[in-house]
Amino acid sequence: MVCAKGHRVFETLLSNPFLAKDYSDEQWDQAVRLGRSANLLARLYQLLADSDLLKVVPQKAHHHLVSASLQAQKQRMQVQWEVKLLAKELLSIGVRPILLKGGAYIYANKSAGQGRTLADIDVLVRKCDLSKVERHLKTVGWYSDKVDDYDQYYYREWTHEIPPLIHYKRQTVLDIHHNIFPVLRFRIDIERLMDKVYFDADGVGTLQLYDMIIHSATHLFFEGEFESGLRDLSDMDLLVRELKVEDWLKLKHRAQELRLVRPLFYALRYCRHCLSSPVPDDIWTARDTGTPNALQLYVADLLFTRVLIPHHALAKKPGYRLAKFLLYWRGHVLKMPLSVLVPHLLRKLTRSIAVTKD
Amino acid sequence: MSNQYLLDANGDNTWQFEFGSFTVALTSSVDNVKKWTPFLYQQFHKAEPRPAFVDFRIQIERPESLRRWVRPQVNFYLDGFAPFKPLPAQQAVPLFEWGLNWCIANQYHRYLHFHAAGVEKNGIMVILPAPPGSGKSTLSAALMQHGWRLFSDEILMVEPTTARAIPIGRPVNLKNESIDLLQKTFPQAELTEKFYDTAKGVVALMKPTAATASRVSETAMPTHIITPRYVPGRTLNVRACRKPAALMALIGNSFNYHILGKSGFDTACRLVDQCDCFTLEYSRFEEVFEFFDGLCEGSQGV
Repeated sequence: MVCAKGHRVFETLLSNPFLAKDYSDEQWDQAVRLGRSANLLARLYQLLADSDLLKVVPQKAHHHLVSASLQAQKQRMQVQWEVKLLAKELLSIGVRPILLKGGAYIYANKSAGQGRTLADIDVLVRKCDLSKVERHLKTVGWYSDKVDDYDQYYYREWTHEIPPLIHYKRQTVLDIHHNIFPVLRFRIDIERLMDKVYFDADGVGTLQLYDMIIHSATHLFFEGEFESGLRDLSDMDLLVRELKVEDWLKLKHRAQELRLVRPLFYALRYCRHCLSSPVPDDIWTARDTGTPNALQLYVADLLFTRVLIPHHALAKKPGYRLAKFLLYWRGHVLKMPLSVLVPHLLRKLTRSIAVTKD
Repeated sequence: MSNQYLLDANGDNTWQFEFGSFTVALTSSVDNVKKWTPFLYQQFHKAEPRPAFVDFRIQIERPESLRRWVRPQVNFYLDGFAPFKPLPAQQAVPLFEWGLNWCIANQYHRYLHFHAAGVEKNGIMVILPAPPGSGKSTLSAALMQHGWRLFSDEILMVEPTTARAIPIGRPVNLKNESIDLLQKTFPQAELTEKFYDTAKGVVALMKPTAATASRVSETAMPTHIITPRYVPGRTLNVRACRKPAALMALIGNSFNYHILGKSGFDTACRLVDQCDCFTLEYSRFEEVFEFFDGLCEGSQGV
């Protein structure tokens, strides 16, 4: 691990920032390129700063880390401000928003919120409040640019969210969910998750630490796209580092209760594999249901280790494209039964042909 | 390690430039780029030793699609990532300029950036902040040909801790009528061919003068902030500008003021405090030269 080369140059620094002391200019050149493509440069800045290691970074690389960190800090302030405004708006109609993922890490001041950048703010509300929330936000400056009837229908019928809302002036994007996963294949018991949400004095909710980890894992390992996969792993790495020794079993039991063992299993496995997260050896036993068998695990390792990387030419291993392709289809099949998926894809195909003709 | 210099393996299609504060590697097999890059950038070219750290790796290449051949297009890539839509192949050379501007303005926040030109002579360093269409490229190109050192015609960089201006001295982006005007007024000026039908009309690039290129590592302390405006037929009209208005002109023309936060505000205030501030309307170069040379008179030269 000490003389990291090629595809591990960046992950090695996230795992152990102290190795930065031994990095050559060439390794820094690669680390900055990889970190930029993984959207994790600001995270690296933060980890180095936490260990007082910024002084060992060569000046040229330092400029790029600082640049990324300044952008992330700007976004951090924006998120905090935006959540404040949102909570006030929703309070007026008696709804308390629950933040998910990046927005929640920042708002709850988690270490996973440090150096975290995001494209949109993910919010969870109860399904019965959804249309009320949407109607109200549309009267106070939020709009949806998915005007196509089919898009609208698709979002509302088959996903767990409404089309993204954009603020006309600030251009902030809100993703409002009523569940953490498309509702078709699995019945995720969202009430059990909502029961444990912590609301602060401003009426803003965040998940408990266990649920943050399980939610991020579910999001990553049931999805078909892994562009931000390494970033999500790094989030989970920082979250699990907050667990105390006795918390690990509670985390497992919570995943069992929510019936989300498989994604948690993969998340912990690849956090440990890619980022050396301190996951105990004996957390899973042979009696645990929901864990993959030997063959499934073999295939999973082949596929996931190829895509949970910075998506940059320096990091791609042979088989990358095939793994990406297979996982993309896995994601689709997990989300929708074939009776829904096939008509959906046909619809997309005919529409793309119609657009090309123009 | 083996991957890193893969792009250089072809040999002559990659150029490395040192712009004083940062290093750029350009790779392209597009004919126009191969033709004009050595002409424009020879003075910044650094062949050996190859720098271990490159700030921006840029590729200008044709896309892997039908548009490689049919009505050819080119793409701008920053280290493999394409931030823009492709442009017609004929615009490959200006695309590199615009793309590099984008890289600096969006990715590099070590400095406070202004949408401004900057010129320097004998220690008099003038910042010319102005929105597009005010004639700042034309004006700064003319001043460069008149013996001033060009810092930039587009992005003026200021270091927050010192408030000193940092030169880049890249080619000047001339548009439409100003191309022929400058070529006629300054026969010694070295320009590329004209690139037609770009988003900004006809574009040609002017090579930086030797004085500009050779001193690209020398920073300077800004002394004047002058907001220029080209008004056809107008005799030179220079007016003192109140400091709050000058501050707003600076901030309003900054690319990353909002990202630098307080240090951006402090730097902009410091600049306005230490500079004499004017607005300037002009139509004739001779009058402008007389005014600018007047600023230099009596200065010690730093």
